[in-house]
Amino acid sequence: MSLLTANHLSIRLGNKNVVENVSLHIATHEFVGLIGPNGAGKSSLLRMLAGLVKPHAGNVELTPENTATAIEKIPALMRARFMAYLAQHETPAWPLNVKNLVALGRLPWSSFNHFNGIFNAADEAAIASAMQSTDVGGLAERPVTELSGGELQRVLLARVFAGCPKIIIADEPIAALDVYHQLHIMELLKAHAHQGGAVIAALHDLSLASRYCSRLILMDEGKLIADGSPVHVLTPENLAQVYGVRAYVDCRDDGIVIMPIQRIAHV
Amino acid sequence: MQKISFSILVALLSLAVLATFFCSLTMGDASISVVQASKDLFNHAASLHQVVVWEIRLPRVLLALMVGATLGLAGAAMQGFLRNPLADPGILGVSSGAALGAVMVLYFGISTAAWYWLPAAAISGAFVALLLVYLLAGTRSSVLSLILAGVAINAIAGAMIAVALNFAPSLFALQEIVFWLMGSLSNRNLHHVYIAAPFIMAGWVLLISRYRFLNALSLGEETAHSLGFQPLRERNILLIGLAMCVGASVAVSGSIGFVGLVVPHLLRPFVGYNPGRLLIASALGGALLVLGADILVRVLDVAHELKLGVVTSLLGGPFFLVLIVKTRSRWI
Repeated sequence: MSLLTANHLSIRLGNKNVVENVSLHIATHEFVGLIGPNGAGKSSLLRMLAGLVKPHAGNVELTPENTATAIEKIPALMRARFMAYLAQHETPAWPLNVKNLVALGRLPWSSFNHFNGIFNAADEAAIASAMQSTDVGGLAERPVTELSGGELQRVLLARVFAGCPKIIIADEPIAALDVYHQLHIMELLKAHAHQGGAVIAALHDLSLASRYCSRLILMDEGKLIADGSPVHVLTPENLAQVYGVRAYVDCRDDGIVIMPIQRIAHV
Repeated sequence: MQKISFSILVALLSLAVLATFFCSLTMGDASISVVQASKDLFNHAASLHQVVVWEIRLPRVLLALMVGATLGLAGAAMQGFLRNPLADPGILGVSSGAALGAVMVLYFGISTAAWYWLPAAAISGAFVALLLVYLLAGTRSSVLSLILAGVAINAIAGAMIAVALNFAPSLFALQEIVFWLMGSLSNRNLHHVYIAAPFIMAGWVLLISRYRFLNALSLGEETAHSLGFQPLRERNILLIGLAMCVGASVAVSGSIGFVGLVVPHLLRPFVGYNPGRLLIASALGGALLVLGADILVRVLDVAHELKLGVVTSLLGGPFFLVLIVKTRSRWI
Protein backbone atom coordinates (compact mmCIF):
# COMPACT_ATOMS: atom_id res chain seq x y z
CA MET A 1 0.00 0.00 0.00
CA SER A 2 1.39 3.36 -0.96
CA LEU A 3 2.27 5.55 2.01
CA LEU A 4 3.96 8.54 0.44
CA THR A 5 3.91 9.96 -3.05
CA ALA A 6 6.09 12.84 -4.22
CA ASN A 7 5.21 14.53 -7.50
CA HIS A 8 7.73 16.66 -9.41
CA LEU A 9 9.36 18.18 -6.37
CA SER A 10 11.65 21.13 -6.92
CA ILE A 11 13.32 23.55 -4.60
CA ARG A 12 15.79 26.36 -5.14
CA LEU A 13 18.38 27.82 -2.78
CA GLY A 14 19.49 31.19 -4.05
CA ASN A 15 19.56 30.62 -7.80
CA LYS A 16 20.63 27.02 -7.68
CA ASN A 17 18.18 24.18 -8.28
CA VAL A 18 18.92 22.03 -5.26
CA VAL A 19 16.22 19.52 -6.15
CA GLU A 20 14.77 19.38 -9.64
CA ASN A 21 11.64 17.53 -10.68
CA VAL A 22 11.95 14.51 -8.39
CA SER A 23 9.05 12.09 -8.20
CA LEU A 24 8.94 8.97 -6.10
CA HIS A 25 6.63 6.82 -4.05
CA ILE A 26 7.11 4.76 -0.93
CA ALA A 27 4.95 1.79 -0.01
CA THR A 28 4.71 -0.39 3.07
CA HIS A 29 7.50 -2.88 3.75
CA GLU A 30 9.98 -0.77 1.77
CA PHE A 31 13.37 0.28 3.05
CA VAL A 32 14.46 2.85 0.49
CA GLY A 33 18.07 4.01 0.42
CA LEU A 34 18.60 7.54 -0.90
CA ILE A 35 22.12 7.72 -2.24
CA GLY A 36 24.17 10.22 -4.16
CA PRO A 37 27.30 12.33 -3.84
CA ASN A 38 27.61 15.28 -1.46
CA GLY A 39 25.44 18.17 -2.58
CA ALA A 40 23.12 15.94 -4.60
CA GLY A 41 20.12 17.34 -2.76
CA LYS A 42 19.35 14.34 -0.54
CA SER A 43 18.82 16.32 2.67
CA SER A 44 16.65 18.90 0.92
CA LEU A 45 14.56 16.15 -0.63
CA LEU A 46 14.09 14.45 2.73
CA ARG A 47 13.07 17.75 4.33
CA MET A 48 10.42 18.23 1.65
CA LEU A 49 9.16 14.68 2.11
CA ALA A 50 8.92 15.28 5.86
CA GLY A 51 6.94 18.46 5.30
CA LEU A 52 9.55 20.62 7.03
CA VAL A 53 10.15 22.76 3.98
CA LYS A 54 7.77 23.84 1.22
CA PRO A 55 8.84 22.90 -2.30
CA HIS A 56 8.81 25.59 -4.96
CA ALA A 57 7.10 23.20 -7.32
CA GLY A 58 5.38 19.89 -6.91
CA ASN A 59 3.73 18.37 -3.89
CA VAL A 60 3.92 15.52 -1.42
CA GLU A 61 0.97 13.30 -0.62
CA LEU A 62 0.65 11.04 2.38
CA THR A 63 -1.92 8.36 3.10
CA PRO A 64 -2.36 8.34 6.86
CA GLU A 65 -5.95 7.16 6.55
CA ASN A 66 -6.09 5.20 3.30
CA THR A 67 -6.67 8.28 1.12
CA ALA A 68 -3.86 10.28 -0.42
CA THR A 69 -3.87 13.82 0.99
CA ALA A 70 -1.52 16.69 0.32
CA ILE A 71 0.89 17.08 3.22
CA GLU A 72 -0.06 20.71 3.89
CA LYS A 73 -3.66 19.70 4.41
CA ILE A 74 -2.92 17.05 6.99
CA PRO A 75 -3.15 18.33 10.61
CA ALA A 76 0.32 18.65 12.11
CA LEU A 77 -0.33 16.12 14.87
CA MET A 78 -1.69 13.52 12.47
CA ARG A 79 1.34 13.98 10.24
CA ALA A 80 3.62 13.68 13.28
CA ARG A 81 1.96 10.40 14.31
CA PHE A 82 2.26 9.02 10.80
CA MET A 83 5.77 10.09 9.93
CA ALA A 84 8.91 10.56 12.02
CA TYR A 85 12.04 12.47 11.01
CA LEU A 86 15.53 11.70 12.24
CA ALA A 87 17.68 14.78 11.61
CA GLN A 88 21.29 14.62 10.60
CA HIS A 89 23.05 16.44 13.44
CA GLU A 90 20.88 16.07 16.49
CA THR A 91 22.72 16.92 19.70
CA PRO A 92 20.28 17.22 22.59
CA ALA A 93 20.36 20.66 24.17
CA TRP A 94 20.01 19.49 27.78
CA PRO A 95 21.38 16.52 29.73
CA LEU A 96 17.99 14.81 29.89
CA ASN A 97 18.12 11.20 30.92
CA VAL A 98 17.65 8.62 28.19
CA LYS A 99 14.12 7.67 29.14
CA ASN A 100 12.93 11.30 29.09
CA LEU A 101 14.50 11.85 25.69
CA VAL A 102 12.88 8.73 24.26
CA ALA A 103 9.61 9.90 25.82
CA LEU A 104 9.77 13.05 23.65
CA GLY A 105 8.81 10.78 20.79
CA ARG A 106 5.38 10.43 22.39
CA LEU A 107 4.65 14.17 22.12
CA PRO A 108 2.37 13.77 19.08
CA TRP A 109 0.27 11.26 21.03
CA SER A 110 0.02 12.68 24.54
CA SER A 111 -1.32 15.99 25.65
CA PHE A 112 -1.04 16.76 29.34
CA ASN A 113 0.84 13.69 30.39
CA HIS A 114 4.26 15.11 29.77
CA PHE A 115 3.82 17.88 32.27
CA ASN A 116 4.38 16.07 35.52
CA GLY A 117 6.34 13.19 34.08
CA ILE A 118 3.63 10.63 34.53
CA PHE A 119 2.90 8.77 31.32
CA ASN A 120 -0.18 6.78 30.57
CA ALA A 121 -0.08 3.06 29.84
CA ALA A 122 0.14 3.47 26.07
CA ASP A 123 3.06 5.89 26.37
CA GLU A 124 4.90 3.63 28.80
CA ALA A 125 4.44 0.60 26.58
CA ALA A 126 5.66 2.41 23.48
CA ILE A 127 8.69 3.84 25.30
CA ALA A 128 9.60 0.47 26.80
CA SER A 129 9.24 -1.32 23.49
CA ALA A 130 11.31 1.30 21.66
CA MET A 131 14.07 1.17 24.26
CA GLN A 132 14.10 -2.61 24.18
CA SER A 133 14.35 -2.93 20.41
CA THR A 134 17.22 -0.43 20.25
CA ASP A 135 18.90 -2.08 23.24
CA VAL A 136 19.14 1.07 25.37
CA GLY A 137 17.12 -0.20 28.32
CA GLY A 138 20.22 -0.35 30.49
CA LEU A 139 20.93 3.33 29.85
CA ALA A 140 17.51 4.57 30.97
CA GLU A 141 18.72 6.84 33.78
CA ARG A 142 21.93 8.06 32.16
CA PRO A 143 22.15 11.68 30.97
CA VAL A 144 22.31 11.72 27.18
CA THR A 145 25.35 13.97 27.21
CA GLU A 146 27.38 11.15 28.73
CA LEU A 147 26.65 8.65 25.99
CA SER A 148 28.98 7.54 23.24
CA GLY A 149 28.15 8.24 19.59
CA GLY A 150 26.67 4.81 18.99
CA GLU A 151 24.61 4.86 22.17
CA LEU A 152 23.26 8.34 21.42
CA GLN A 153 22.27 7.39 17.87
CA ARG A 154 20.39 4.34 19.19
CA VAL A 155 18.64 6.55 21.76
CA LEU A 156 17.64 9.03 19.05
CA LEU A 157 16.32 6.14 16.97
CA ALA A 158 14.44 4.88 20.04
CA ARG A 159 12.80 8.31 20.21
CA VAL A 160 11.66 7.82 16.62
CA PHE A 161 10.34 4.32 17.34
CA ALA A 162 8.54 5.47 20.49
CA GLY A 163 6.29 7.61 18.31
CA CYS A 164 5.10 4.46 16.50
CA PRO A 165 5.32 6.09 13.06
CA LYS A 166 4.50 4.39 9.81
CA ILE A 167 7.17 6.17 7.79
CA ILE A 168 10.64 6.93 9.11
CA ILE A 169 12.67 9.56 7.26
CA ALA A 170 16.31 9.41 8.33
CA ASP A 171 19.08 11.73 7.20
CA GLU A 172 22.42 9.89 7.40
CA PRO A 173 21.56 7.82 10.48
CA ILE A 174 24.82 5.85 10.51
CA ALA A 175 27.31 8.46 9.39
CA ALA A 176 29.58 8.68 12.45
CA LEU A 177 29.21 5.18 13.85
CA ASP A 178 31.57 2.22 14.05
CA VAL A 179 30.80 -0.85 11.93
CA TYR A 180 29.06 -2.77 14.70
CA HIS A 181 26.62 0.04 15.38
CA GLN A 182 26.17 0.76 11.69
CA LEU A 183 24.96 -2.80 11.18
CA HIS A 184 22.76 -2.59 14.28
CA ILE A 185 20.98 0.57 13.13
CA MET A 186 20.50 -0.80 9.60
CA GLU A 187 19.01 -4.00 11.07
CA LEU A 188 16.59 -1.95 13.19
CA LEU A 189 15.47 0.12 10.22
CA LYS A 190 15.03 -2.95 8.07
CA ALA A 191 12.99 -4.61 10.83
CA HIS A 192 10.73 -1.56 10.96
CA ALA A 193 10.04 -1.89 7.25
CA HIS A 194 9.58 -5.64 7.59
CA GLN A 195 6.90 -5.13 10.25
CA GLY A 196 4.73 -3.06 7.95
CA GLY A 197 6.25 0.40 8.13
CA ALA A 198 8.48 2.14 5.61
CA VAL A 199 11.86 3.78 5.82
CA ILE A 200 13.66 6.19 3.54
CA ALA A 201 17.22 6.94 4.62
CA ALA A 202 19.97 9.03 3.07
CA LEU A 203 23.10 6.91 3.13
CA HIS A 204 26.70 7.26 2.07
CA ASP A 205 27.83 3.69 2.44
CA LEU A 206 26.91 2.02 -0.87
CA SER A 207 27.61 -1.48 0.37
CA LEU A 208 25.39 -1.23 3.43
CA ALA A 209 22.71 0.55 1.42
CA SER A 210 22.55 -2.19 -1.20
CA ARG A 211 22.62 -5.00 1.37
CA TYR A 212 19.81 -3.71 3.57
CA CYS A 213 17.62 -1.60 1.31
CA SER A 214 15.01 -3.18 -0.90
CA ARG A 215 15.23 -0.21 -3.22
CA LEU A 216 17.73 2.52 -3.98
CA ILE A 217 17.13 6.01 -5.31
CA LEU A 218 20.18 7.64 -6.84
CA MET A 219 20.38 11.41 -7.02
CA ASP A 220 22.92 13.68 -8.62
CA GLU A 221 22.88 17.49 -8.76
CA GLY A 222 19.25 17.64 -7.74
CA LYS A 223 17.97 15.22 -10.33
CA LEU A 224 16.75 11.66 -9.89
CA ILE A 225 19.06 9.41 -11.87
CA ALA A 226 17.79 5.93 -11.04
CA ASP A 227 15.15 4.29 -8.89
CA GLY A 228 15.01 0.54 -8.46
CA SER A 229 16.70 -2.47 -6.98
CA PRO A 230 20.34 -2.03 -5.95
CA VAL A 231 21.67 -4.10 -8.86
CA HIS A 232 19.78 -1.98 -11.37
CA VAL A 233 20.80 1.31 -9.83
CA LEU A 234 24.47 0.71 -9.07
CA THR A 235 25.53 -0.13 -12.59
CA PRO A 236 29.09 0.62 -13.66
CA GLU A 237 27.76 3.42 -15.86
CA ASN A 238 25.92 5.11 -13.00
CA LEU A 239 28.85 4.68 -10.66
CA ALA A 240 31.19 6.22 -13.19
CA GLN A 241 28.90 9.07 -14.16
CA VAL A 242 27.51 10.02 -10.77
CA TYR A 243 30.30 9.15 -8.34
CA GLY A 244 33.20 9.16 -10.75
CA VAL A 245 34.49 5.84 -9.45
CA ARG A 246 35.00 2.34 -10.62
CA ALA A 247 33.80 -0.28 -8.16
CA TYR A 248 33.99 -3.99 -7.59
CA VAL A 249 30.42 -5.32 -7.48
CA ASP A 250 29.64 -8.87 -6.48
CA CYS A 251 26.16 -10.33 -6.10
CA ARG A 252 26.41 -13.05 -3.54
CA ASP A 253 23.70 -15.18 -1.96
CA ASP A 254 23.70 -13.18 1.24
CA GLY A 255 23.65 -9.83 -0.49
CA ILE A 256 25.60 -7.48 -2.68
CA VAL A 257 29.14 -6.37 -1.99
CA ILE A 258 30.26 -3.06 -3.48
CA MET A 259 33.75 -1.78 -3.04
CA PRO A 260 34.96 1.41 -4.75
CA ILE A 261 38.34 0.77 -6.26
CA GLN A 262 39.49 3.67 -8.31
CA ARG A 263 38.58 7.21 -9.20
CA ILE A 264 37.86 7.88 -12.84
CA ALA A 265 39.34 11.02 -14.33
CA HIS A 266 36.53 13.34 -15.44
CA VAL A 267 36.57 14.39 -19.07
CA MET B 1 21.14 15.21 39.93
CA GLN B 2 18.49 14.95 42.61
CA LYS B 3 15.52 12.76 41.99
CA ILE B 4 12.49 14.60 43.27
CA SER B 5 8.98 14.18 41.98
CA PHE B 6 7.74 17.23 40.11
CA SER B 7 4.50 17.38 42.06
CA ILE B 8 6.39 17.43 45.36
CA LEU B 9 8.70 20.16 44.06
CA VAL B 10 5.78 22.32 42.97
CA ALA B 11 4.02 21.75 46.29
CA LEU B 12 7.10 22.69 48.29
CA LEU B 13 7.78 25.81 46.24
CA SER B 14 4.14 26.89 46.42
CA LEU B 15 4.09 26.49 50.18
CA ALA B 16 7.30 28.48 50.47
CA VAL B 17 5.86 31.24 48.28
CA LEU B 18 2.64 31.41 50.31
CA ALA B 19 4.54 31.45 53.58
CA THR B 20 6.84 34.23 52.36
CA PHE B 21 3.85 36.13 51.03
CA PHE B 22 2.11 36.20 54.39
CA CYS B 23 5.35 36.83 56.20
CA SER B 24 5.89 39.86 54.01
CA LEU B 25 2.37 41.13 54.69
CA THR B 26 2.86 40.99 58.44
CA MET B 27 6.26 42.70 58.36
CA GLY B 28 6.91 46.36 58.55
CA ASP B 29 7.73 49.34 60.76
CA ALA B 30 4.24 49.78 62.12
CA SER B 31 2.98 46.93 64.26
CA ILE B 32 -0.08 46.02 62.30
CA SER B 33 -2.18 42.93 62.65
CA VAL B 34 -3.19 41.31 59.36
CA VAL B 35 -6.08 39.59 61.09
CA GLN B 36 -7.40 42.91 62.33
CA ALA B 37 -6.90 44.39 58.89
CA SER B 38 -8.93 41.59 57.27
CA LYS B 39 -11.74 42.05 59.76
CA ASP B 40 -11.77 45.77 59.11
CA LEU B 41 -11.84 45.18 55.37
CA PHE B 42 -14.88 42.95 55.69
CA ASN B 43 -16.63 45.47 57.90
CA HIS B 44 -15.64 48.34 55.57
CA ALA B 45 -14.08 50.09 58.52
CA ALA B 46 -11.35 52.47 57.39
CA SER B 47 -8.89 51.73 60.16
CA LEU B 48 -5.11 52.15 60.19
CA HIS B 49 -4.68 48.39 60.06
CA GLN B 50 -6.78 48.11 56.94
CA VAL B 51 -5.05 50.95 55.09
CA VAL B 52 -1.55 49.78 55.88
CA VAL B 53 -2.10 46.16 54.98
CA TRP B 54 -4.40 46.42 51.99
CA GLU B 55 -3.34 49.69 50.44
CA ILE B 56 0.32 49.92 51.30
CA ARG B 57 1.70 46.47 51.91
CA LEU B 58 -0.50 44.27 49.75
CA PRO B 59 0.23 46.02 46.44
CA ARG B 60 3.94 45.79 47.11
CA VAL B 61 3.85 42.13 48.09
CA LEU B 62 1.52 41.22 45.23
CA LEU B 63 3.81 43.00 42.77
CA ALA B 64 6.84 41.21 44.22
CA LEU B 65 5.06 37.92 43.63
CA MET B 66 3.96 38.82 40.10
CA VAL B 67 7.25 40.36 39.02
CA GLY B 68 9.30 37.54 40.53
CA ALA B 69 7.15 34.86 38.92
CA THR B 70 7.33 36.68 35.58
CA LEU B 71 11.10 36.99 35.64
CA GLY B 72 11.58 33.34 36.59
CA LEU B 73 9.09 32.16 33.99
CA ALA B 74 10.43 34.41 31.23
CA GLY B 75 14.00 33.35 31.98
CA ALA B 76 13.07 29.67 31.76
CA ALA B 77 11.12 30.31 28.56
CA MET B 78 14.02 32.13 26.90
CA GLN B 79 16.55 29.50 27.97
CA GLY B 80 14.28 26.76 26.63
CA PHE B 81 13.55 28.60 23.39
CA LEU B 82 17.15 29.57 22.65
CA ARG B 83 18.44 26.25 24.01
CA ASN B 84 21.01 28.20 26.00
CA PRO B 85 21.32 28.32 29.79
CA LEU B 86 22.82 31.83 29.59
CA ALA B 87 19.72 33.48 28.18
CA ASP B 88 17.80 35.89 30.38
CA PRO B 89 14.41 37.58 29.85
CA GLY B 90 16.04 40.70 28.44
CA ILE B 91 18.13 38.98 25.79
CA LEU B 92 15.82 40.03 22.97
CA GLY B 93 15.68 43.64 24.02
CA VAL B 94 12.22 43.60 25.57
CA SER B 95 13.23 44.78 29.04
CA SER B 96 15.61 47.47 27.82
CA GLY B 97 12.87 48.72 25.48
CA ALA B 98 10.51 48.93 28.43
CA ALA B 99 13.16 50.69 30.51
CA LEU B 100 13.75 53.19 27.70
CA GLY B 101 10.01 53.95 27.53
CA ALA B 102 9.94 54.62 31.26
CA VAL B 103 13.14 56.70 31.17
CA MET B 104 11.69 58.88 28.38
CA VAL B 105 8.62 59.59 30.48
CA LEU B 106 10.76 60.42 33.50
CA TYR B 107 13.09 62.60 31.44
CA PHE B 108 10.37 64.71 29.88
CA GLY B 109 8.52 65.01 33.15
CA ILE B 110 5.36 63.41 31.79
CA SER B 111 5.20 61.05 34.75
CA THR B 112 4.03 63.91 36.95
CA ALA B 113 0.96 64.48 34.78
CA ALA B 114 -0.71 61.18 35.69
CA TRP B 115 0.40 57.96 37.36
CA TYR B 116 -0.31 55.78 34.33
CA TRP B 117 2.05 57.41 31.83
CA LEU B 118 5.15 55.63 33.08
CA PRO B 119 3.73 52.09 33.09
CA ALA B 120 2.00 52.70 29.75
CA ALA B 121 5.21 53.97 28.16
CA ALA B 122 7.17 51.03 29.53
CA ILE B 123 4.75 48.44 28.19
CA SER B 124 4.69 50.24 24.84
CA GLY B 125 8.48 50.34 24.86
CA ALA B 126 8.59 46.57 25.28
CA PHE B 127 6.38 46.03 22.25
CA VAL B 128 8.27 48.57 20.14
CA ALA B 129 11.50 46.72 20.97
CA LEU B 130 9.91 43.41 19.93
CA LEU B 131 8.68 44.96 16.70
CA LEU B 132 12.16 46.30 15.96
CA VAL B 133 13.68 42.87 16.63
CA TYR B 134 11.27 41.34 14.10
CA LEU B 135 12.03 44.08 11.60
CA LEU B 136 15.77 43.61 12.01
CA ALA B 137 15.78 39.83 12.01
CA GLY B 138 12.86 39.19 9.68
CA THR B 139 9.78 37.15 10.53
CA ARG B 140 11.11 33.83 9.28
CA SER B 141 14.61 34.16 10.62
CA SER B 142 16.84 31.77 12.50
CA VAL B 143 17.29 31.89 16.24
CA LEU B 144 20.76 33.36 15.81
CA SER B 145 19.36 36.32 13.85
CA LEU B 146 16.89 36.96 16.66
CA ILE B 147 19.65 36.98 19.25
CA LEU B 148 21.80 39.34 17.15
CA ALA B 149 18.84 41.66 16.64
CA GLY B 150 18.25 41.56 20.41
CA VAL B 151 21.88 42.51 21.01
CA ALA B 152 21.45 45.46 18.65
CA ILE B 153 18.22 46.64 20.31
CA ASN B 154 19.78 46.28 23.77
CA ALA B 155 22.73 48.37 22.62
CA ILE B 156 20.56 51.09 21.07
CA ALA B 157 18.21 51.29 24.05
CA GLY B 158 21.16 51.37 26.43
CA ALA B 159 22.74 54.17 24.42
CA MET B 160 19.56 56.23 24.48
CA ILE B 161 19.15 55.72 28.22
CA ALA B 162 22.73 56.92 28.62
CA VAL B 163 21.86 60.01 26.56
CA ALA B 164 18.93 60.72 28.86
CA LEU B 165 21.21 60.43 31.88
CA ASN B 166 23.84 62.61 30.24
CA PHE B 167 21.43 65.41 29.46
CA ALA B 168 19.33 65.16 32.62
CA PRO B 169 18.18 68.70 33.48
CA SER B 170 19.07 68.48 37.17
CA LEU B 171 20.74 66.25 39.73
CA PHE B 172 17.32 65.34 41.09
CA ALA B 173 16.13 64.28 37.66
CA LEU B 174 19.29 62.22 37.21
CA GLN B 175 18.78 60.55 40.57
CA GLU B 176 15.15 59.82 39.77
CA ILE B 177 16.07 58.03 36.57
CA VAL B 178 18.98 56.13 38.06
CA PHE B 179 16.99 54.99 41.08
CA TRP B 180 14.13 53.90 38.85
CA LEU B 181 16.57 51.87 36.77
CA MET B 182 17.90 50.12 39.84
CA GLY B 183 14.56 48.47 40.40
CA SER B 184 12.23 49.00 43.34
CA LEU B 185 8.79 48.11 44.63
CA SER B 186 8.38 50.84 47.20
CA ASN B 187 5.56 53.39 46.96
CA ARG B 188 3.55 51.15 44.66
CA ASN B 189 -0.21 51.15 45.03
CA LEU B 190 -3.08 49.03 43.78
CA HIS B 191 -3.20 51.03 40.55
CA HIS B 192 0.12 49.54 39.59
CA VAL B 193 -1.28 46.09 40.28
CA TYR B 194 -4.36 46.81 38.16
CA ILE B 195 -2.40 48.05 35.18
CA ALA B 196 0.22 45.31 35.26
CA ALA B 197 -1.91 42.31 36.15
CA PRO B 198 -3.77 41.85 32.83
CA PHE B 199 -0.56 41.97 30.78
CA ILE B 200 1.29 39.75 33.21
CA MET B 201 -1.48 37.15 33.38
CA ALA B 202 -1.88 37.12 29.60
CA GLY B 203 1.87 36.77 29.18
CA TRP B 204 1.95 33.89 31.66
CA VAL B 205 -0.76 32.04 29.75
CA LEU B 206 1.04 32.49 26.43
CA LEU B 207 4.38 31.35 27.87
CA ILE B 208 3.24 28.41 29.99
CA SER B 209 1.12 27.00 27.17
CA ARG B 210 4.35 26.53 25.14
CA TYR B 211 5.63 23.84 27.49
CA ARG B 212 5.27 20.98 25.01
CA PHE B 213 7.04 22.92 22.25
CA LEU B 214 9.93 23.77 24.57
CA ASN B 215 10.25 20.09 25.44
CA ALA B 216 10.33 19.16 21.77
CA LEU B 217 12.95 21.87 21.12
CA SER B 218 15.43 19.84 23.21
CA LEU B 219 16.01 17.91 20.00
CA GLY B 220 16.34 20.91 17.72
CA GLU B 221 13.93 22.98 15.63
CA GLU B 222 13.67 20.51 12.74
CA THR B 223 12.75 17.63 15.02
CA ALA B 224 10.30 19.83 16.92
CA HIS B 225 8.68 20.66 13.57
CA SER B 226 8.49 16.98 12.71
CA LEU B 227 6.85 16.26 16.07
CA GLY B 228 3.84 18.35 15.06
CA PHE B 229 4.74 21.92 16.08
CA GLN B 230 4.89 24.96 13.84
CA PRO B 231 8.12 26.65 14.92
CA LEU B 232 7.25 30.12 13.63
CA ARG B 233 3.81 30.21 15.24
CA GLU B 234 5.18 28.90 18.54
CA ARG B 235 8.01 31.44 18.42
CA ASN B 236 5.62 34.35 17.82
CA ILE B 237 3.43 33.31 20.73
CA LEU B 238 6.49 33.00 22.97
CA LEU B 239 7.83 36.43 22.03
CA ILE B 240 4.49 38.22 22.35
CA GLY B 241 3.94 36.57 25.74
CA LEU B 242 7.46 37.64 26.74
CA ALA B 243 6.89 41.25 25.72
CA MET B 244 3.60 41.35 27.63
CA CYS B 245 4.70 40.00 30.98
CA VAL B 246 8.28 41.30 31.03
CA GLY B 247 7.20 44.70 29.72
CA ALA B 248 4.54 45.01 32.41
CA SER B 249 6.99 43.85 35.10
CA VAL B 250 9.62 46.39 34.14
CA ALA B 251 6.85 48.99 33.98
CA VAL B 252 6.04 48.58 37.65
CA SER B 253 9.35 47.58 39.15
CA GLY B 254 12.18 48.93 37.04
CA SER B 255 15.07 46.73 35.95
CA ILE B 256 15.51 43.74 38.22
CA GLY B 257 18.30 41.51 37.06
CA PHE B 258 19.63 38.01 37.69
CA VAL B 259 16.33 36.47 38.73
CA GLY B 260 15.57 35.32 35.20
CA LEU B 261 19.06 33.93 34.81
CA VAL B 262 19.72 32.28 38.16
CA VAL B 263 16.37 30.73 39.07
CA PRO B 264 15.97 28.49 35.99
CA HIS B 265 19.63 27.54 36.19
CA LEU B 266 19.26 26.52 39.83
CA LEU B 267 16.04 24.56 39.38
CA ARG B 268 16.87 22.81 36.13
CA PRO B 269 18.45 19.68 37.71
CA PHE B 270 15.44 19.33 40.01
CA VAL B 271 13.00 19.05 37.11
CA GLY B 272 15.08 16.50 35.26
CA TYR B 273 16.28 19.16 32.78
CA ASN B 274 12.79 19.19 31.30
CA PRO B 275 12.25 22.67 29.80
CA GLY B 276 8.47 22.48 30.06
CA ARG B 277 8.38 21.63 33.74
CA LEU B 278 11.03 24.26 34.38
CA LEU B 279 8.52 26.98 33.42
CA ILE B 280 6.25 26.44 36.44
CA ALA B 281 9.14 25.67 38.78
CA SER B 282 10.98 28.85 37.75
CA ALA B 283 7.85 30.96 38.12
CA LEU B 284 7.51 29.78 41.72
CA GLY B 285 11.24 30.06 42.36
CA GLY B 286 11.37 33.56 40.93
CA ALA B 287 8.40 34.65 43.06
CA LEU B 288 10.13 33.23 46.13
CA LEU B 289 13.40 35.00 45.33
CA VAL B 290 11.88 38.42 44.71
CA LEU B 291 9.54 38.14 47.72
CA GLY B 292 12.56 37.26 49.83
CA ALA B 293 14.67 40.05 48.37
CA ASP B 294 11.86 42.52 49.02
CA ILE B 295 11.68 41.40 52.66
CA LEU B 296 15.43 41.92 52.86
CA VAL B 297 15.04 45.42 51.44
CA ARG B 298 12.53 46.32 54.14
CA VAL B 299 14.36 44.64 56.99
CA LEU B 300 17.84 46.02 56.30
CA ASP B 301 17.58 49.45 57.82
CA VAL B 302 20.08 51.46 55.80
CA ALA B 303 20.51 55.20 55.35
CA HIS B 304 19.55 55.24 51.68
CA GLU B 305 16.74 52.90 50.80
CA LEU B 306 18.26 49.70 49.45
CA LYS B 307 16.98 49.07 45.94
CA LEU B 308 15.45 45.71 45.05
CA GLY B 309 17.52 45.42 41.88
CA VAL B 310 20.68 45.95 43.90
CA VAL B 311 19.74 43.17 46.32
CA THR B 312 19.02 40.70 43.53
CA SER B 313 22.34 41.55 41.89
CA LEU B 314 24.19 41.13 45.18
CA LEU B 315 22.49 37.79 45.71
CA GLY B 316 22.60 36.71 42.12
CA GLY B 317 26.13 37.50 41.03
CA PRO B 318 28.12 35.41 43.49
CA PHE B 319 25.47 32.70 43.48
CA PHE B 320 25.77 32.35 39.74
CA LEU B 321 29.53 32.15 40.06
CA VAL B 322 29.28 29.27 42.51
CA LEU B 323 26.72 27.53 40.32
CA ILE B 324 28.94 27.71 37.24
CA VAL B 325 31.98 26.43 39.10
CA LYS B 326 30.06 23.51 40.59
CA THR B 327 28.40 22.41 37.38
CA ARG B 328 31.29 23.04 35.01
CA SER B 329 31.70 19.35 34.29
CA ARG B 330 28.10 18.93 33.24
CA TRP B 331 28.34 21.15 30.19
CA ILE B 332 30.37 19.75 27.35
